[in-house]
Amino acid sequence: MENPNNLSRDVLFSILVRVPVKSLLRFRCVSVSWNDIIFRREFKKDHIDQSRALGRVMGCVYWYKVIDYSKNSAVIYFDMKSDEFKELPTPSFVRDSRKKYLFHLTVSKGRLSFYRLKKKTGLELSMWIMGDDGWKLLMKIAEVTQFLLDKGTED
Amino acid sequence: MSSSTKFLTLKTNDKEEFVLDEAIAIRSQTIKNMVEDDCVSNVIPLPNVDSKTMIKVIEYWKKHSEEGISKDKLMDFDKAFVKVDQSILYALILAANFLNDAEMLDMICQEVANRIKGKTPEEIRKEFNIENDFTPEEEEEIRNENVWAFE
Repeated sequence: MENPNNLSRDVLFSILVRVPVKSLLRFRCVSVSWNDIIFRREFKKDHIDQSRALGRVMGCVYWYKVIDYSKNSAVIYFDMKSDEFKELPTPSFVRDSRKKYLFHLTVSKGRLSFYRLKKKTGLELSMWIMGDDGWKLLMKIAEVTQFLLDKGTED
Repeated sequence: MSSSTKFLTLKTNDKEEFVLDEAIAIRSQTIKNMVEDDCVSNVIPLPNVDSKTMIKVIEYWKKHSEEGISKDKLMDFDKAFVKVDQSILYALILAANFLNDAEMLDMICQEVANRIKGKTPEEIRKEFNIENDFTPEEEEEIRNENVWAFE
């Protein structure tokens, strides 16, 4: 039993979902089968669940990364305490309405927040804030002035 | 212990026998299924587990079955429990996987993840005895995609 070579794919999967994103990306070039496991759809889902379980809101630096406008986006964060990159699941309001709206990640009231602008017209602003039990709609403004829009595109 | 306590005999692949309270042994889903399906005769064979590993598994099961043990004490126990050689840790993973003890498997997988997370691909290949089956071009491409992960 000394040869860990015979760890089954299932067990390897269980180990790798607990490894931080930065290490995983590095481990992609270990071998073809490791690359396969890391890139499997179920893996991504499981890994995100694990990250959420381990993640903290404070003491981290966050990015909202649009990987592909029609399909993928992710909130990636760097945990200053453990020195690790991790990923948050994309909130459902982002997933469901990405085609019509632009999203920006920001901080308000010391919490992680998302604001959303209607593409092209920009005549609508909504804001979500990270609460203790997930994302909460904070406000919705139907008509946004040009001043706010300019501010919104600064970052 | 009450007179109704049932005992099971577990036999490892090196022919050692372990007599264990059924209530403790059914922490293993595999054994639990066997007991529930009533297919337990006198001895339960464990073809994938050796006695050295089984001693550790039973130590874990007994500690986690202690009545009224505090969470802190269990955490201390778990911490000390995984401080073992790589080879024992992998044998424990295989055992926990075969016995289907999700709690124990989770804990050991987390320990392995902690041990490997800072390593380079080369170190991982050595540790898991994996052959690099990428062509140099393929490997280069993946590295280039994830340069920041190598910094």
